[in-house]
Amino acid sequence: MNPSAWLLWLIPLASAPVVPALGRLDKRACKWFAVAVGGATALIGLEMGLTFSGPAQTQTLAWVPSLGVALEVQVDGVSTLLGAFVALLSFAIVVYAAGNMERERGQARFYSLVLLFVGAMLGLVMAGNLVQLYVFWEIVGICSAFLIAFWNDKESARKAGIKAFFVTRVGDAALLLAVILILTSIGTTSLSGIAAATKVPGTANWTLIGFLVLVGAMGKSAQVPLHVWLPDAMEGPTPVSALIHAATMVNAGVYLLVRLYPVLATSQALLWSVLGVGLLSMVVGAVCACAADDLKRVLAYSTISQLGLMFAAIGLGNWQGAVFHLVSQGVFKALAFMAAGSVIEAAGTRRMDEMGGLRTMKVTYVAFLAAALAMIGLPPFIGFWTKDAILSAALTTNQAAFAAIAVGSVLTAYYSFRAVFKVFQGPKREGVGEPPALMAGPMVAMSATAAFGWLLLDYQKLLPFGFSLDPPALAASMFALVSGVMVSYYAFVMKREETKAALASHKAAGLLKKALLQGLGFDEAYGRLSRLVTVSLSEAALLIQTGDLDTNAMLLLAALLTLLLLVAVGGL
Amino acid sequence: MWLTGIMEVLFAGAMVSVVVDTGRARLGGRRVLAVGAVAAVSLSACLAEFLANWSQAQSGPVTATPVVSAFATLYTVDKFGALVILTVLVVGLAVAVYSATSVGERDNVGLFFALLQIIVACAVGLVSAGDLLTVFLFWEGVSISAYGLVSFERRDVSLEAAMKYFFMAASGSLIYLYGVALTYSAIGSIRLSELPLLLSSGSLGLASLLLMLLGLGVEAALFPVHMWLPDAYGSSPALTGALHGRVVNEAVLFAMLKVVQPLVPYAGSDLVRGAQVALVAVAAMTMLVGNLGAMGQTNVRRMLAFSSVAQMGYMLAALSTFTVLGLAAVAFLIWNQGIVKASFFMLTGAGGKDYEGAELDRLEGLGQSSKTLGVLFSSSALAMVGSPPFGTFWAELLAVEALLSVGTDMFFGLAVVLVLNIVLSIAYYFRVVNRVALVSVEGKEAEPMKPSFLLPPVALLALSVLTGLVPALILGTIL
Repeated sequence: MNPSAWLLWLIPLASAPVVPALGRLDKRACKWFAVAVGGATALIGLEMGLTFSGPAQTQTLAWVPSLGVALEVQVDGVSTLLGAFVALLSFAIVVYAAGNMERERGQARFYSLVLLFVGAMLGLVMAGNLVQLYVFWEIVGICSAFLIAFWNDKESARKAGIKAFFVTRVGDAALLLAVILILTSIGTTSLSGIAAATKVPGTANWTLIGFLVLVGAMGKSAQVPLHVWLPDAMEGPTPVSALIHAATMVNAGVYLLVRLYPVLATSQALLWSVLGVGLLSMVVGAVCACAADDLKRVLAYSTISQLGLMFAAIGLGNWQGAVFHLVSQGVFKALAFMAAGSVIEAAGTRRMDEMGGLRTMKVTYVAFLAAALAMIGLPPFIGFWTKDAILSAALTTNQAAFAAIAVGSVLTAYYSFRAVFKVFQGPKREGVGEPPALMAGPMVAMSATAAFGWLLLDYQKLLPFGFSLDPPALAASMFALVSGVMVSYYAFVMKREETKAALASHKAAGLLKKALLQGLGFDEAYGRLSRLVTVSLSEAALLIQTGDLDTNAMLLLAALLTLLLLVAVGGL
Repeated sequence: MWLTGIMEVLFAGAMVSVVVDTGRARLGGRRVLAVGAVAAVSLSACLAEFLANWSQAQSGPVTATPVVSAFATLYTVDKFGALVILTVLVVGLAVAVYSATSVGERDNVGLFFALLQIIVACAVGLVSAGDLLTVFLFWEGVSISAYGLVSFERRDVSLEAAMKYFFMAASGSLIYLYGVALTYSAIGSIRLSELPLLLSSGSLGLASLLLMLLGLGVEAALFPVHMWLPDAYGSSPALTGALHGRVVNEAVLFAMLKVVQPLVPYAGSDLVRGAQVALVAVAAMTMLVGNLGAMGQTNVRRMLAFSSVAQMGYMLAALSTFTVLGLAAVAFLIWNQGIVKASFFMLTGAGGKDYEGAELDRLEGLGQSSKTLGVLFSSSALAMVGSPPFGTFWAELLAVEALLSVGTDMFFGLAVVLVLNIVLSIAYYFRVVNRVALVSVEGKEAEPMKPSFLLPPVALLALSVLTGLVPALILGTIL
């Protein structure tokens, strides 16, 4: 029995209900308690990551025997690596939140939801079977929705929370069907049992199951066309965006596909679907990120795009590459959000057009720059190694995908530095201070991780970490990086004013920008669909609700006649 | 026998309630409390008696024809029935405690608590009936008490709703009786255990079965004969809505289960397949019409009524599988949705609100003026849409598992419809969360909350969480 694999998620879960009680005694106690729990969890995660040396093991406790469902933890390379990653990152973000959220109301609600989230997220990573994984999958979704709506006085925040809950639940419905199909087909949902069953032909309809799993993963990982909730989720507090909507929960879909890779591998069509969804999301996310003006939305679209890259890696059969990029993206995106939170607090706006010249905030500037450099994959930043692994795999297996990823890289370099230049370049802005130590500390630590974290990726050999430094792949990636940054530099530093003027006067550019700002019309289409269901179909369903006894009687008679007709036609 | 003992205690309790109420002059302000206490005590006693004998129902169907009893007829209680009786008693007790402080000083308080106990007693009888006529007897008992509760407020709108309800339910009884008569003519018996004889009766068998199910379906509020339910909910006080919605609909739906249960071993027969086509279609339409209808409501209680219709659809879907797993899912849905729905109803009446008080506009901002209510509304909504850690999650999982286990395209399609319907229900439940729990309205003052308003919904939600965290506790008794 490895107690760490249980304590890792049970401690934060059990701590969550304690926070409101503490909050009644002393409001400040909430944040220190959360920091302490986060610290303890991080230590456990670290211990688990440093001591695990394989082989994979499963530990089981009885839970719902009549359904064949147990409480199960799976301790192996993937769960240990990601468990340690989530625990450490959560700790850094909770400390950051202690500084960033200091003046907000509702501290008890905030920290109890955050701890509940951390526990459920770690439970999801450690879960040894799909039913248990699904339970935590739902709980992280609930926490996410209520944290997005944290500033409940804002209508946009409330709407965004509900939208996130609803859209991800569409994906969850598919996942639930998949989980139960597996349960009824092979009598178990344990990860090892599924992997074994996929090797025996005819045990289940794996193609259907794989398709449903993909839809579930698309919802949680905000892949096109179920991505619409993530940009709106930026209405939540910045620590929430960093923790949930950049570094951890949105990775759950990727994690699910990694865990169920044996299912996907049963059919080439499934792998192609995963690749297709991934590439599409990568491009759509990157293109929208190029136009967005809200700093947090840029980062949100970037997350969609990066998650698309991970999906593509899985579709190409390189699931290990997806896991490493997941960790790497988690680090640099969380860092980018932390820096963004600091910038937004100083500038008092999220609009990049109203920023500029903020390089006086040195710590924040360095942090954002480190995040951007890791994001675009400059060596030796962490993103370089993990992206290289995916690019070189693509080069050998699928040239078209390679080309698409290269295009995505150009866009990434462009939008990342567009943000850097728009926020920090321009006439220096004086009088803006550095963030408090509680925010700066985690930013410094994360910056160091973004620069040197790759040294740790292979430290414990939890997973075979492969990168090839293939010359063509390397050349493509460097070319993408340089060209993207150059264009950005030209447009937003050298010709800053001209670009602004050109974008304002050029009609086609304006239309394109408008389309991109509106997310390419997905939201509008869903809005129409939603009105169709909640208004038109609802009215249709209420047509027979006349409150009139005659109608009721007629319908009863009609039911009776239909029934007799059925008997007559049935002709038993 | 303990089963008839429960019914006798409840009927005695009903009489005592009326008698105590005659001393209204001396009781003064404590009158409602005193009469309510009688109901609460009798229901608690029954619950204790039932739990003491719980293991007996678990070890196999308890079948008995008591020789010396006021209710000497044939009874059969199996593990599914036991869980439904538990639901009825728990919800009944919660409603009694809640009502003891929320019913106003009306003339007919004694009658109200008497009807409450009679409805529970008859539901227990209905759930444990061993033949088709005993089903009819107790069903009528439930219905008659329910008419009384719907018209309790004596307003025009209540009387009209009660009249509509009466007309529909009475027609349903008639159709059911016709089915029973056909059954008797086909197989010469009205015992539930002998219903498999219908298998060899051809069209007559199918007609008998479907007529009985349609008759019961009227009062279980299935499409297309569900329209009376929202009207009836709309005119009743919150507590009867809670009671009515769950106890009556679910007990009647369980009666449908009793008719289906003997045919489970013959799931591949023509008779069952014929019935399945009808039931699957009705189940799909019921959930769809219920959920879509709920979206168009501005009154939370009326919305809950439509949602109840949808949930009857979920149960019917599980029932239509004609499998043991499906029946277990029905019983488990009844327990889980029963306790949560009752809790939600009570919340809409918290602070003694009448029907108009449950308009969304009036409830708006309540959660910000009372944080506890906000948390309770949000939790209930999450439970209603089947989120963990609430027991409803496992119930819906079990229902979908029952559908997928059948392995045919028709049931796979029904499973897809079911999970999509659960997603649809988020749209209106979260509208309530948004407007009641999250929005803050300026100048909205916190309403004083008596503990008795909050205690029963909190207890019911706690039971739901307990079922969600340790599902084996309840699930282990039926599977």
